[in-house]
This record gives sequence, structure tokens and C-alpha cells, in this order.
Amino acid sequence: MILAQQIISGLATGSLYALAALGLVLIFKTSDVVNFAQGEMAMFGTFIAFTLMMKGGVPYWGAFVLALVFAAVFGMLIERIVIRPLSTAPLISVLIATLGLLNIINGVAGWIWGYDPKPFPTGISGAPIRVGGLVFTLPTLLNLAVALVLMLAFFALFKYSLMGIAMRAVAENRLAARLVGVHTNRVLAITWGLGGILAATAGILIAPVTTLSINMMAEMQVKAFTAGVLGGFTSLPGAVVGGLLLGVLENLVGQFIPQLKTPFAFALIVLVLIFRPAGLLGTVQRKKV
Amino acid sequence: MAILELSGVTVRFGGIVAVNQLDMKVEEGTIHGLIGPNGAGKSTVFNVLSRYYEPAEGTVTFDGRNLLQYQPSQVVGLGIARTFQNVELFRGLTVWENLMVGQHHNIRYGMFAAALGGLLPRVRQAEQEARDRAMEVLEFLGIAAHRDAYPQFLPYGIQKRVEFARALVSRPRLILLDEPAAGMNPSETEELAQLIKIMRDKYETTVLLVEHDMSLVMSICERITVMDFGRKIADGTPAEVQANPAVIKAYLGEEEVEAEHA
Repeated sequence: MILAQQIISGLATGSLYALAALGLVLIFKTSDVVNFAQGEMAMFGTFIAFTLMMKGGVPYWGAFVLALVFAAVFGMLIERIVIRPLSTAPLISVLIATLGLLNIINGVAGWIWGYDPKPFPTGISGAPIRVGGLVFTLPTLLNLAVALVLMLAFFALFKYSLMGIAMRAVAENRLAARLVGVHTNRVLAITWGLGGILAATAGILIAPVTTLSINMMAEMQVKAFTAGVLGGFTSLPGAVVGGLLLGVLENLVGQFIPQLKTPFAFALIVLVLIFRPAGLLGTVQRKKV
Repeated sequence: MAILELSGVTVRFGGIVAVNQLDMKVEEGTIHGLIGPNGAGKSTVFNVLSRYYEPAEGTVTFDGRNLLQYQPSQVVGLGIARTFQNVELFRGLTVWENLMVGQHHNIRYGMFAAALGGLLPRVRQAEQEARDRAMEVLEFLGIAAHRDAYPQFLPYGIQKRVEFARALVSRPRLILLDEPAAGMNPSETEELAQLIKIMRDKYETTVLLVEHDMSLVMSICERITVMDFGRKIADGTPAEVQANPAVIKAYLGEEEVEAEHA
């Protein structure tokens, strides 16, 4: 029973990792860019929601939605101002640029909102649900549900909608996509907008656990990368499965040696890259040369 | 009436002149061949029409509009679709999804509509039209049975048809075929010739074709432009071109050179 409860609490943390990983995977899948600034985009969006609630008196869900709108615009601006001018630069330049963005967004957020951690409210509260001897808190259930719904929604978007199919075409061969009439810049802008929305969603759901601060995503982002790698980095279901698995494994490790939780995540990245580079649900990427 | 008109088009790569002062008119509704020895500049012309190469000089008018002021991704929307010398289908997409990409230029909606996907009637209607069109073209080309296959696992001839289909679903007024008969045996080439003619008639389009297979060019083209070393050396009907001394020299000259190297 203790083991089962440990697994449930692992799923709770894991759903947060999954949420953070979804945006990373979405952007990587479509544009080959590993966005190191994804976590800071999440943090910034969460501060926007916080400011709307505290200073603007906007209720929780209103602030949530407005923060998502902001995050979408923010994501598209990043694509337009930073990523698009680098579209012909080597990939490593883009990676360095997103690392730069990480520090810029972090620094600006500190300048605006200061460096003290702030408590952040949850979307739902109430008595935990008990099933048998197991305890489920409401925020945990909400996080799990949001992660699963977003995963399914984006999976369907990629699989069935014209926009999603175009995103996959752009991901595979940007030039060929352009020559058959795909407005690749628009597709990439939309990808980054959606990436921004995923980031802010993750941030707002994570903040009650980590408390809101400019460094709230620092550790979370490492976990999101692990979740992504574990799942294959091109697979949205993989990101969710990877996140949940990481949460559970980490919790079990942490029960015996709490200090090794974070080293465990890094060890997992290295091991997966060595023994199963395509991840659990990813497909091997073969680029045409 | 000419649907496509190139005038004085010159393309340079560094010091090399790939296309030199090319004038060419393609009449609406014709099947027009663009031929010439290797390195004559034919594919460069196609890449100018796709807006992939920027000409140093000259004008290109398509359907009364200055083509050179459009972006590569807008060319399909104007009504020019193309196939590629080495089939360029998306490997991670099924045949059906490749055809959906070919219609992307028709879709005009923003991010939130995209995110909501099928929930908006406007989006749903646009996507339904795209699906109907794709199904019709697949049936016309006789490849409907392969709609859910991944192109890389299909025979080469079928892949070529899929590329034709992707070009056709965009409702082109001009379709550019880059060496469609490459890698085909004579009976497949004969079948292809019929297909191009029927396609032109059924979809009321204009065809501009770069091709090395002279039997194909001579049997289906109504007009032919011949290039050599980036210049136009002749144009006219197949009979006129075949009798043109400059054309004979360009082709025989090339054969002599090849014979020496052999």
C-alpha cells in the first residue's frame, strides 16, 4: 500500500514533468530546435497570471486564459525576432540563442517581479479523494487530466488537421514544404505560439508546487528534458509517458536515497541516449542526404 | 494567349551564367517541352519559376502578374505546381497526408482556428473540400488503393503518380514536370505520355515539361523550346525543332563528346 501511494505521488510530479515536456517536444518536432528557454517562457507566463490575479483582481481561470493568450503572442514574437532570422544559421547557433533567451527572460523577470518566492494558488481545492487506502489530491487529478487532454488534443492536431500535417511536412523538409505551397514561416510562428501556450499551462500548474519564483523552472526543465528523451523527443505521447515514468521512478529512488533524485534524472538521460536513442515511443530520425 | 512569359531572364551563380537572356512563351492549354543537353539550364529555369533562384536580370510574367514579386510559398497559390526530378515526397507522411500538404496554400486561418481544428465550421468545411479534392485526384490517377501507404515503400512509378497527385490537388493552371520519365521503361513512358495528355484535358491546365526522353517529348509536346549552355537555341513545333541545324548540332555534338569519354 505504501508502494502504491508512492506511485501515485510519483504520477503527481510526473504529470508536471509531462506538461513541461510537451512544449519542448512540440517545438523540437516541428523546427528541430531544442528550446532551452521553454521553462523561462513558462515562468514568465505564470508571473503574468499572478500579476493579473494579485494586481488586476482577475479571478483564477480568467487570469489563466489571459496568460495563455499572452504566452501565445510571446511565443510567436520569439519565433519572429530570434528564431526566424537564424533559420539559415547552423543549428548550434539556434541552440545558443535559446540559451541566451533563457538568461534574458530570467533576468528581465527578476527585474520586474523581484527574487522572492511567492505562493501561487491552485485551480481547484478541496478534500482529497480516498479510494481504498489511497489518497488522491484534487490538484494532482487536475494536472494528470490536463496533461492527458493536451497530449490527446495535440496528437489529434498532428494526425488529422491540415495544419498539423503541414507542421510535420515542415519538420521533415522545410524547403520542399515551401515549394509545394506551405507558408513555412506561418507554420513555424503557429508552432511557437502553441509552444508558448503549453509552456504557460505547465508553469501555472507547476507553480503551486514549486512556489512562484524566477527560478521555479530550473530543476523542472532538467526533468522535462529527461521526460522528453525518455519518450523519444519527437513523440507527444512519449513525452507524457516519459514524464509519468520519470516521476514514479524518481519517487521510488528518492524514498531510499533522497539526495540522488536529481543525479538519477541525469543518469537516466545518459542511459537512454546510449541504449535506446530513439526513446520509448520515438521513431529513428533518418534525414535524407 | 501566353500564360507564362519569360523575357531576358539571366541567372548567374558566381561567375557562371546558368541561364543567359532567355525569352520563352508558354501558351495557355499547351503541353510545352523544355529540352537541351545536360547542363543547358533547364532545371535552373524551373527553379526560377518556383522562386527558388533569383534571376539577375529579366522578367517573368505569369497570368498577367509579375511572378518575381512573390515568395516561394505563394507560387502554388498563384497556380503553379511542380514535381521534382528526384521524387520529393514527405517520407514521414502517408500518400493521403502528402496530398493534404499540397493544398495547404488554400487554407487561410490563424493559430486559434488551427488549435481548435475541426471545432470551427469554417475550418471543417475547408478541410472537407481538401479531402474531396484529394480523393477525386487519387481516383483519377488510379492510386486510391495506396492512400494510407507511406510513399517510400511504394514502387517508383507509383511514387511519381503520387507526386503528380500532390501537384494536381493544388488546382494548378500551370504544372511543371521535371523529368517525369526518368527511370521509366518504354512501356511506362508510353503510359505516362497518355496520362499527361488526359491530365491536361481533364484539369484544363498547361504543362511545361523538362525531359530527356525524346520519344516522350516529340509525341506529346505541341511546342518545344531548346536550350544549350544557358541560351535558347530554338523553339517551335516538334517537326520544326527536329529539323533545326542548331539543335542537331547541340545534340550530336554532345554525343560525340560522350563517345570520346566512353
